[in-house]
This record gives sequence, C-alpha cells and structure tokens, in this order.
Amino acid sequence: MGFAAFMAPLYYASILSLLSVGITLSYMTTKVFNFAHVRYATVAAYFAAATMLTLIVHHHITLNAATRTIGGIQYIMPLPGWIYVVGFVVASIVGGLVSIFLYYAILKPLERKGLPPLALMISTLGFDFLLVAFLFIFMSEKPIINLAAKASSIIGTVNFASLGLDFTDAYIRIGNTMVRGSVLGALVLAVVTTIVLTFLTRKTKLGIMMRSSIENPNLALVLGVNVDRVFAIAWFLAGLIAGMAGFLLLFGTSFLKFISPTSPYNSIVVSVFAGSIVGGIFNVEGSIGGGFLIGLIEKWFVPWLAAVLSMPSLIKYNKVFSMFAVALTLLFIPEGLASIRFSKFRKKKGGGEA
Amino acid sequence: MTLNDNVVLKLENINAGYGKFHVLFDMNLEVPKGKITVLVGPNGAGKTTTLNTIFGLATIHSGKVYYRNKDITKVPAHQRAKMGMAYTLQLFNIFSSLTVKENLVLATYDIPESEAKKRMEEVFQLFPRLKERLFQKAGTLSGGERQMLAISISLVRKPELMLLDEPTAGLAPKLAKEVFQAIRQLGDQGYTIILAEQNAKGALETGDEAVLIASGRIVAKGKASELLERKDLAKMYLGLI
Amino acid sequence: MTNFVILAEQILSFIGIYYIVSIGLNLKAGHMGIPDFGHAMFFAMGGIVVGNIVSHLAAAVAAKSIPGVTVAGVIASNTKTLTIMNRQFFPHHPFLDIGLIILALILSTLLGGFLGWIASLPALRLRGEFLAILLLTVAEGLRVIFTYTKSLMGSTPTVGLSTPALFSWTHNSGVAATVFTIIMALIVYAFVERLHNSPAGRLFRAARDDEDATEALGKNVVTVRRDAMIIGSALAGIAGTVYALNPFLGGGSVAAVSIFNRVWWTFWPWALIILGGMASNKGTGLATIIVGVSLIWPVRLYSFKVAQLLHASALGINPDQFANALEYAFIGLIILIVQASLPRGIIPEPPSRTLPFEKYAKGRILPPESKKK
Ligand SMILES: Nc1ncnc2c1ncn2[C@@H]1O[C@H](COP(=O)(O)OP(=O)(O)OP(=O)(O)O)[C@@H](O)[C@H]1O
Ligand SMILES: [Mg+2]
Repeated sequence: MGFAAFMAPLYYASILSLLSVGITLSYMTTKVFNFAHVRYATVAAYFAAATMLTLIVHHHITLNAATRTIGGIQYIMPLPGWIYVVGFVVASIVGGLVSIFLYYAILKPLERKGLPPLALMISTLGFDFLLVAFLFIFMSEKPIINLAAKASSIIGTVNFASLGLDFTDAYIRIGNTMVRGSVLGALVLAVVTTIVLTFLTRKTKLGIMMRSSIENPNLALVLGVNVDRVFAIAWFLAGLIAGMAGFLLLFGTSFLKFISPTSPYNSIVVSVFAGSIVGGIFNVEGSIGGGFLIGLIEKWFVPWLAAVLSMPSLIKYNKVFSMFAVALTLLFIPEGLASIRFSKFRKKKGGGEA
Repeated sequence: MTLNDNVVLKLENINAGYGKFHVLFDMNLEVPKGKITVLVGPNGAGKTTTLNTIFGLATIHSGKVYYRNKDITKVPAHQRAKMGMAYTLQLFNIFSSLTVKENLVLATYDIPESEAKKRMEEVFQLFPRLKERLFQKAGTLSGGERQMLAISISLVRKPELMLLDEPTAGLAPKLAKEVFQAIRQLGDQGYTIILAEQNAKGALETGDEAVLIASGRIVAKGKASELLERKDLAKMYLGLI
Repeated sequence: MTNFVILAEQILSFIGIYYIVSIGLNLKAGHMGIPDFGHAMFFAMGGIVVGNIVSHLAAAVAAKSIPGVTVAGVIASNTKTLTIMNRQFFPHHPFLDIGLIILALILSTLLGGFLGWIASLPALRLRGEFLAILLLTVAEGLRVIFTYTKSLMGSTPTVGLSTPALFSWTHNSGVAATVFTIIMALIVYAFVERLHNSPAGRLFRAARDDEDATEALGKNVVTVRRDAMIIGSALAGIAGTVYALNPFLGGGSVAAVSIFNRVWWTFWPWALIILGGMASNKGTGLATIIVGVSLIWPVRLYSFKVAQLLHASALGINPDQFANALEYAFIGLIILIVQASLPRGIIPEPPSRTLPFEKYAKGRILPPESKKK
C-alpha cells in the first residue's frame, strides 16, 4: 500500500484520538460520560467556518493555488496563513467555552443537587440536544450557506457553494507526495497533545492537583485544592482539544454535511467512545492511543481486510469492528478496564472502609 | 464581632446538615487556642458533621462560624485550608494509590520545597515508622500506620487549627494509645486541635476541653478530666461503665 | 374536520407507540436500574419483523394468485411488490391480515426478548455508565449491520422497506391502525401495572435497591436482571411492530435510519421516563401524553408559523430546520429542566400496593425504603 493510501486513515485516527482524550479527561474528573463532547467539535467547526468565511468576504481574499517554496519545501497554501490561524484559534476557544459552560451551568448545579453519575450523563445528552437545535437554526441558508456562496464567488472557485463545500486545504510536499495540510496538522496535533498532556498531568502543580482531586476529591479539598476549578480546567482542556479537532474536520469531509446534526457522520460519537474505552478511560495517554487504534481499525485495517478477503462490502461494516473492540475490552481485558475497579470502589464507599 | 485572642474558632447558633437533612441543632462552641478540644458522643451523634461544618463541607442552615476574628460561614472549604485549617477525615483520609512520600509531597504542594522537607523531618520524629515506609504504597499500610500518615498529611501543613476525626478508629488498644500519645505531644507543642472520637475514655484522657454531643446537640461541656468523672454522662452516652 | 382527525390520529399514535417503547425502557432502567442506551435495537427488531418477515410470508401466499408478486421480489423490487400486495391482496384477505398482525406481534416479542437476553449477558458483568456505553455501541454496530445488509433492510438505509398494509381491509385503515395502537398501549399498561405489584416486580426493585439483600433472600440477582432485560426488550419489539403497522409515524415503510434512530427510540424514551419518574408506569403514561400532545400539536404544527412570526426567513433561517431545532430544543429542555427541578419526575415511583404489612413484620420481604441505609 502506498504512502498516499495512509493519509485518510491517519487523518481520521488522529481526529478520533483528539476527541477520545476529551471523553477520558471529563470522565476521569467528574465520572460523567459526556454525550455532548463530539458536538463541541461541530459547534467549534461552525464558528470557525463562519469566521473564516466572513474574513474571506470582508477582505476580498482570492485563492492562491500556486505551488510555492520555502526553505526548499514545496507547499500550496490557497488562503493566507493568518486565516487558518484565526479559524484554529476560534475553534479551540469556542470548544473550550462550550465545555466549560456545560460544566458550570449544568453539571455542577445538578451534581450539587445530588444527582448520580448516570443522571448527569443524561443531562449531557440534554445539552447535546440544545447544541443540535442551535446548529439546526444557524447552519441553514443565510447564516452559513449564503456566506459560503458569497465567499466562493469572491474566491472564484466552485469549492464552497457546490458539491463538497469542504474548506480549501493546504498541501506540503513530503518525499514525492503532496500531503494535505489537514492530515499533517491532525497528526502533529495528536502528538503535541499527547506530549503536552503527559507533561501537564505528571510534572506540573496543576497536574498534581488534578490527579489528587481525581483520586480523592474530599481529601484534595481539605488540602486546599479548589477541586471544582481543577475539574473545570480539565473540562476546558477537553473542549479546547475537541475544538481543534473540529477545525481540522472542516478540511476532511464536506463540512456542511459534517456540521449537520442529522448527518451520518455523527456516528463518529460511537467511535470516539470506543477509542476512549479501548484505550483506557482512566488514562489520558491510553485514550489517545485508543482513539488512534480505533481510527486505524476503521479506516485502514478493515479496508485492508476487505481487499485481502476480496469482500469489498466489508468496508461499510467497519463500525462493527469498533463495537467488538469495545465489547471485548469492557468484558475481558482487565487492564485499562477501569469499570471493575470503579464498581468495587463504589461498593467500598457504600460499605465503609474495607 | 471579635474573638478573644485565646479563642481560635467559634460556632454561633449553628443549625446544619446535608442538603435539607438537618443534623446539628443550635450548636454553640468555642475552641481555645493551644488546647485539645475533644468531641465525644455516640454513633451518628453528629461529631463528623460538626467538623464538616467547621471546614465548610456541610450545609449550614443558620448560624455563624468565626475563625480568628473572621466570619467564615460562607468561605469555601479549599480556602479554609489556605487560612491555616487542616482536617484529617474519618474515611479515605490518604491517597492510597500513592506512596507515603508522594502523599506528603502532595500535602505540601503549595509550600516551598525546602520548607516542606524540613516539616517532613519533623513529622518523622513524631512517627518514625513512616520514615521506614517512605516508598510503600499508602494503600498497603497497616491500620495504625495509615492513621499516622493521615495525621501527618495535616501536620506537614503546620495548621493553626487541626481537625482530627477518629484517628484511632479500628486500632488495637496499644496502637490507639500510641496515637493518643502523639496527639497529646502535639497539644503540648501548642497546636490547637479538635479531636472527634468514639473512644471516649482515651480521648478524654488526652484532651483538655471536652464537648459531649448527642443527637446533634451539645449536652455537656467542660474540662475533659471533669467530664470523665461525670458518672451520669458516662453511663448514658459514653458506654464507659 | 379531516385535518382534526388526522391530527388526533397522529397524536394518539405517537402516544401509544411511545408509551410502549418507553415503558419497556422503564422496566429495565427504572425498575431494574439497567441503563440501556441501546434500546433502539430492540425496537428495530419489531420493525424488521413487519417489513421483512411478514412481507415475505404474505408474498409467499400472494404469489400464487397475484401476478407480479414473488417472494424474491420483496427485497429485489420492494416498492413494486408491496404496492401490488397493498392494493390487490391485503384489502381482500382480512383474516390473513389479522393472522399476520398477531404473528408479527408474537415474532417481535420473541425476537425482541431474545435479543434482550443476549444483551443481558454483558449486563451481568458491567454496571452503570459502562454498561450504558456498551449497549450504545452494540446498538450502533447492529444498526450498521442492518443498514448495509440488503437482504435485511433493503438497498438504501433511508428508503428501507415498504410495510404491508395490514389494516387495508377496514373501512378506514388510519382509524383502525390508531385504535390498534391505543389498544396495544392499554394492554401493555395493564401488564406492567400487574407486574409492578407482583412478586416479580417487587423483586426487580429490590434487586435494584439492594443486591446483597436480594441475594440474601435466596433470589439470584442475575436472573432478575436477565428477566427485566428480556421483558423490557420484548416490549420494545412490540412497539417496533406497532410502529411499522401504523401509517402516521411509520409512514408506510421501515427504514434503517428511522427504526434504528437512537435519538428517537433510545434518547426520547429516556427523556420520557425521566419526565414521568423512574419506575413510575403512570408517570411514563402522563409524560408521553404531555409530550405527544404538545410536540405534535403546537411544536410541530406551529413551529413553521412561529418561524414566520419571528421573521426567521428574513434572518435566513430555514423554517423546516427551525422546526427541527424546536423539536430538539424541546426535548433537551425537558431533560434539563426536569432533572433540575423534578428529579423524581411528575409522578414519583409509587410504593408497591399489594405488599401486606405482615410480611414485613415476618421479615420475609424487606421494605424497599429500609434497605438503602
Ligand atoms: N453526607 C451525608 N448525607 C446525609 N446524611 C449524612 C451524611 N453524613 C452523615 N449523615 C447523617 O448525619 C448524622 C450524623 O452523622 P455524623 O457522621 O456526624 O455522626 P458521627 O457522630 O460522626 O458518628 P460516627 O461516630 O459513627 O462517625 C447521621 O444520622 C448520618 O446518617
Ligand atoms: Mg464520624
């Protein structure tokens, strides 16, 4: 299999790992599976797209499809670099803010009322529906489609308004392939996130406070750790990373399809949960690896298997493989399978110190 | 409202509990500086809840908490820790997945490292056993060692007010005695301590002042030694006779 | 007038179908504490029974007398075959139709229950949110399998399979289907009320509230959980069949995207049982009525008008999407508001009615309340 054939699986796997780690971060801290998590990416992508399109229209930016060279490296950057940067920043911040809003405005008050984790999980579902409602209203014609049409008429391509509506990607030459900027960006971001989070949780004061708050919130509290705030930071980080993933998703598929709440792309939710669970719901690095693994299974291993078995229809069933991965992990692999430890922990709590 | 310099903490007409659940009724209490105040009472009397109220972990329905001349009724728990209060919880009072050393490092996360080292050495003088087990997982410590570590976690923070909840629970009499001796030693060093205990005899022998709580109300107050002599109370509440 | 009849039929159909599917979930989640986030897959079984199995059986009979109908045609040329049968065959064979309806109900009960039994196997090992995620994932896997397997759900997931018009022999098939839906809902209501006050129902809640005490009574919690899974899932299967036979919600076809839709058939029922009150059968009923009436009448019917009123199109907002948005916002707000202000629902779980006090005294059955502590 050639180098180019790895591009799509790597892109998808990186994005899954960026989303899976957020599920783990929020689960580790508050013991809540966040059903709204993947929607952060969608909402963030929406805002990033709207901002970038507005900037294109406002500044009358035209496409520059020429191949340029910097330091001997060939690249194509259709839009000015700063537009990408603005989009990226907007997406990250929106992701983080949405997440922290969910934490402070919904989860915290409900938790104070004494609702159990399962009820909190359902409340994230309720919040997800509100985000869907938001998307339904604002992704329709004027707010974004008209904007996209306008932008594309200025840019002078058919890229936005017709067919795909995917954002114009950059390219960089590596070896003799032109690699998509979004693919490279996703990979780099996944690696950087792993390094930063590892450093953050293991080496910084915030990380120490986070780990102690996770293990024993009451004890951390009486030692002066503002547990709520530490958890809120974890949620913000989770949202921030999801926002980045959302930005990258603008380039991968038709973004309007992606941000549509009813689109089948949303079954990515299940793959993201799969990544987080298979990798380890109590382990930040594990969940990044898990997301990557699930991504590679779905987009690389299954197609490969389909080719080997010459059963092309198998490709469509790739999510079934993720399902088995989740089921096997939850049922049989004790390592990383925190559920058993978790339920024991809960029993202990109810039954007094063992 | 100003407190007498000798009073570190004061509860004024406290009604408190958990959410709507009412546990403490009209509680008034003054904690003198440099003394060990003992809270005794039967199971479920509200000893832990009193400590939780002092530390901001319970819901206060009415009344006020004063600490060093300040009304702290509404101050969140984590800030009370910064104000010099420390609390050794009744259950889950150590980080059991971490080693002894890591526990102490965590407890001093907001204190400069050199100072933290010094304080740890002081703690080891009180509990030499901990030093031998520095790299053992806290979850694998024996019951006595666990309680010593739990007390040490508070102690390394050099608190101005130390809350101890049942530090001798589940310990063999000999070990319990050791822990009480250590607490007495701390009292003699000038620490202000509130000690909640099931083991009324041991606690009253250790403490200076004593408060007897039953069904969420204070039923008797006085010198610890005097309370120990009160036959009526001993029989009714403390099961000493 | 006809508009009013159609509106009434829509509302009643919604209420009937959602009552059955929600009460099935309530049995698992409310009474037994199993957080089933894969409920839609059991519902789908009922839809598949009608769209696939019943159509095949009917075609086998019809093929003898009606030209253009073949058994293979049910999948190969689904729309054509079903259109012929719905026009020329079902209207003239009332007894066969009734037989097929009964058969569909039996099959969906069995298939839903069987799938529920399989799903109960992991439920024995896992608890809480982890079980929820597992069941969600399994339902998603199953959805993918059914969506892309032509012989099961037809060639396109959005079109799916046309359903046999098994009420076409009546004078007014819309009214007949609605009446059938309501009767089924009432039967299910009677069943779960009986169950609630039977020893089995009490055992469910006892096992939910305190596993150890239930074990101590000599009852195996594992079997109890399994039973709840089977019964609850069978009810979802029945709901799927009723849905597929009902022209107002099903629209004359079952498609993978609709019957496996986890928003409609897992999350909505969750919202309904939360609103009604966990383990409260009457609460679920009232919640379904409230939501059914308000959703279909004001929200769906008037959202378009509201959009106009708000000058939505001047803002560039597509009125159709606005209606969708309102629906999602409605359900999202129900979940959040109920959890914030009425965590026990509009009709909180009632105590078991028939439990005689003497049994407490003899210590044979522990009162549910006393065991928490
Ligand atoms: N988190 C809580 N939520 C609700 N009620 C609680 C909570 N903690 C304690 N209680 C109740 O408050 C009452 C007093 O409990 P508390 O823990 O203060 O007693 P205690 O004197 O410390 O008893 P023990 O000696 O057994 O530790 C008890 O009835 C208990 O059930
Ligand atoms: Mg106590």
